[in-house]
Amino acid sequence: MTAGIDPAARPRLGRGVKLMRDESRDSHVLLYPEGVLLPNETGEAVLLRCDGNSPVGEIVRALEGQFDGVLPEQILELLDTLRGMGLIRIDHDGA
Amino acid sequence: MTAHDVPSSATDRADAPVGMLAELTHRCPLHCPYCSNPLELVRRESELTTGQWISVLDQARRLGVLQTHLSGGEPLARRDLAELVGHASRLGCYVSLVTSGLGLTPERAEELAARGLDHVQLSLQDSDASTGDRVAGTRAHHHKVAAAAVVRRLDLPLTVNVVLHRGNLDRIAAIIRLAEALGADRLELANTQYYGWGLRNRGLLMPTRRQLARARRVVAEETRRLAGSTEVVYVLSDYYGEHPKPCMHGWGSRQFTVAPNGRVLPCPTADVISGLPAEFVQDRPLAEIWYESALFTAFRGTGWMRDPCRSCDRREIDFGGCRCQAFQLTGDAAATDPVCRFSPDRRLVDLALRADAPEDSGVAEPTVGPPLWRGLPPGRVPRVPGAAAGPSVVDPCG
Ligand code: SF4
Ligand code: SF4
Repeated sequence: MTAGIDPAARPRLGRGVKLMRDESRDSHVLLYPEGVLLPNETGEAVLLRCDGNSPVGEIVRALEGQFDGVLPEQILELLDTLRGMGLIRIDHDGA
Repeated sequence: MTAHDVPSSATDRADAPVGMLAELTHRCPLHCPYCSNPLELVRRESELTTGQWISVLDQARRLGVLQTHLSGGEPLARRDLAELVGHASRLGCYVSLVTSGLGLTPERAEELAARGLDHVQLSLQDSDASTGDRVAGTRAHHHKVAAAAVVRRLDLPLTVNVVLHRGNLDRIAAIIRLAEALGADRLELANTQYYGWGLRNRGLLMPTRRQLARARRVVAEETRRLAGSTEVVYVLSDYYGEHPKPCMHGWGSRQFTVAPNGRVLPCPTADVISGLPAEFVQDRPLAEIWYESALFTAFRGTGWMRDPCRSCDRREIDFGGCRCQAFQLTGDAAATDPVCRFSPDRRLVDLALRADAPEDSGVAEPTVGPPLWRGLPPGRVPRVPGAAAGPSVVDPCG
């Protein structure tokens, strides 16, 4: 299912999707045309790196270092889910 | 992590709301017979002022609201719309405009985009002008097509929203093609839900089983074809389901509506439930209304439930269904939603399906009175120059 994610690809937010800091919830929230996603800590850390500059491989390594017990597969799966929901795009270099 | 991942507990303690539907006005140039506004429309003189709406936005954001849907009626009928868009956007809200497209000129759209508008939801009545204008009760279709082009040029995400009923279901393929041609990122195809105007006109709007079966096939094919370009969302009327839909994700759980006159409601149609206490933003802080009022706590959580809901393991999934539907069909807002197969009142829905859904060959007699166009007195039928032959009493939409 996550086989399609290239470690060199650089995820960025989807069309019409905004990541913003919500003081009332003390967390980042993801806003998009028909919904709101209140991510948990890992999700927040992943989304903050979906900036179009960080390659997938680097995101996985950073998260592994930041959170105990988070497996690379889980992060790839999360990226794949977010892509499936249209919330992020995972483009390849130069594509 | 899931969509709308608001932690839900088994207790009835409320979380902060995430969404607000701001019905800025009930004024609208269209007369859709399935309009989701209440039967009793708020008049212009009773609308909140700009300053009052600004205060509502401030309070809503402080309370936790992140999504604001600026809706109507037709919100473009408010001259202060750009100011309200700008204010909501500055507060950090995601701002959607829910519009018929009438009045969305290039100049106005540019101004709204410049003030921070994030997304436009545009309604369509049908695939072509002659049938679309007939249901809208006015020349509307070509304005909508033009409005979509304006939104596209500004590169704002566009959702096209179509209410489906007996009169347009057979053109669903053409409707989907039109939405695609208009460049919709998202297409919402929602079968009429029978509250308010829709319930009043149910005998005219309810489709045949054959229409629904065909539509389902077309939608499935088109959804596959459009994967990756236009997201298609198809919503069947809950009359055809076994269990109710999780209406508003539970009463007073994630969102609320503010009517043009400042009345705060858990959902846009909740005013059909007679006897509910009325709460107005002019009288009481929004936070107090959300957390403490008898209105918002009445059906929050699961504590209010009786059997069969109380002991059902779906009670945290669908929250017993829609309170408005329960009230409108049974007279008791605390009853199990009658669309549920466990409801002792399910026969009311089955009867309606038999009585109001026409046989596949024929046309049903209206069982709930003659058609009523939104915003027109009973018996008045809109005359639309250039629209398909004047609507007949039996079948205004077909
Ligand atoms: S449903 Fe039709 S009549 Fe009702 S507000 Fe929307 S465009 Fe106007
Ligand atoms: S009995 Fe109540 S909780 Fe159970 S499925 Fe029906 S409506 Fe939902």
